[in-house]
Amino acid sequence: MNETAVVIVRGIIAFFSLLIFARLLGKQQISQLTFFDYVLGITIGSIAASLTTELDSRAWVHFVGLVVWTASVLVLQLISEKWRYASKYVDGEPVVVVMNGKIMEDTMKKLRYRAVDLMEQLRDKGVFDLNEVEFAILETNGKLSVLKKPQFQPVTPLHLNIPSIPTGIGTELIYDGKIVKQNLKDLNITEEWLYSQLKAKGIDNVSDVFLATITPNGSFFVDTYMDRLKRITDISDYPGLN
Amino acid sequence: MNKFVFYLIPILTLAIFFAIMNGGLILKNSIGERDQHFLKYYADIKACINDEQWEQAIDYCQKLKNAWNKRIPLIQFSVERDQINGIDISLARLTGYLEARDKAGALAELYEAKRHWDDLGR
Repeated sequence: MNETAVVIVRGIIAFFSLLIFARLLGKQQISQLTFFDYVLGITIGSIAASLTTELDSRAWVHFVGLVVWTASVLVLQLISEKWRYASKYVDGEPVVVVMNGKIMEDTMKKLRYRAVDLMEQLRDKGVFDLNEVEFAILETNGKLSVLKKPQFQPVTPLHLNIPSIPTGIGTELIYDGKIVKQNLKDLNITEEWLYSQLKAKGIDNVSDVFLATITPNGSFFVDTYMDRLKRITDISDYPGLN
Repeated sequence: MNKFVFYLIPILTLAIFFAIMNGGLILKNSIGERDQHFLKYYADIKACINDEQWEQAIDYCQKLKNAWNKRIPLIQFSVERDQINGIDISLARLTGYLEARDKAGALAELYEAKRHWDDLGR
């Protein structure tokens, strides 16, 4: 038995199976994961690792394990989506830990959530004084959502009656030295217009551009490979390569 | 990307993986000539041991080992390593018992090899 060849083949099977199953489960971000989702991810990854290197058992049994866990997550996701109470039962509910500026000690005790945890998560949100907090809610993914008292809310253009223009989302026109023709077509922009914009910025070749984007309000951004910076800001503490 | 191709790629990939992971059960019996098959040699060796034709049994045992060694690369992706090692060890011990003309030991090892063979890919 050529163990190296077997591990290579089983590794390929595990890798692409995991890729397919991960795509099947959706695009939930790490930051949105609940504790249970996190554990599920680790378990599924662990099964994939076993599939690759545990040659004492057949690849198939590990693969079946992978399918069962993925299917269970999928079923749970579908139930949670269709049935709100199931979602609450599975993921739990957000809990108010600060209400009208008062810390909910009994609730925090039930959650085994300490005052230091609260302070730490508040600091993470840029809140260093508890007097600023009106509401703090511990979300199901363990993150803290904070509503500051009105007097501590940041000033926006609306408060100052300053007119603001929506910026929208930037769309890539040039990526890695190549024009993204599909985006030009979607935005009804001609290549001539793009070349004229580049010319205005002193750029002759598209291949010199690393990234060029445009927002719906017409704000054009371009970055070239040659940055021509006079002074490079070095944040490293050590000399040489880092 | 075409919707059909989008779904076809993962389905096809998983189907290939399925075939690789479960092919051992089919490949262990279907590939190769029938008269050079593991079970054919098993029956021959068993008959020789019962008749105490030791030289003939050793010859068949060698042929069985050769047939088995040719089969390993085909089935290694879908069977347990322990089962492959189990058959290897049983055949090595069988050779020793045959050379020592030990009927009980030879039959025991032959049956063990057969047991591993039956479990292969299941």
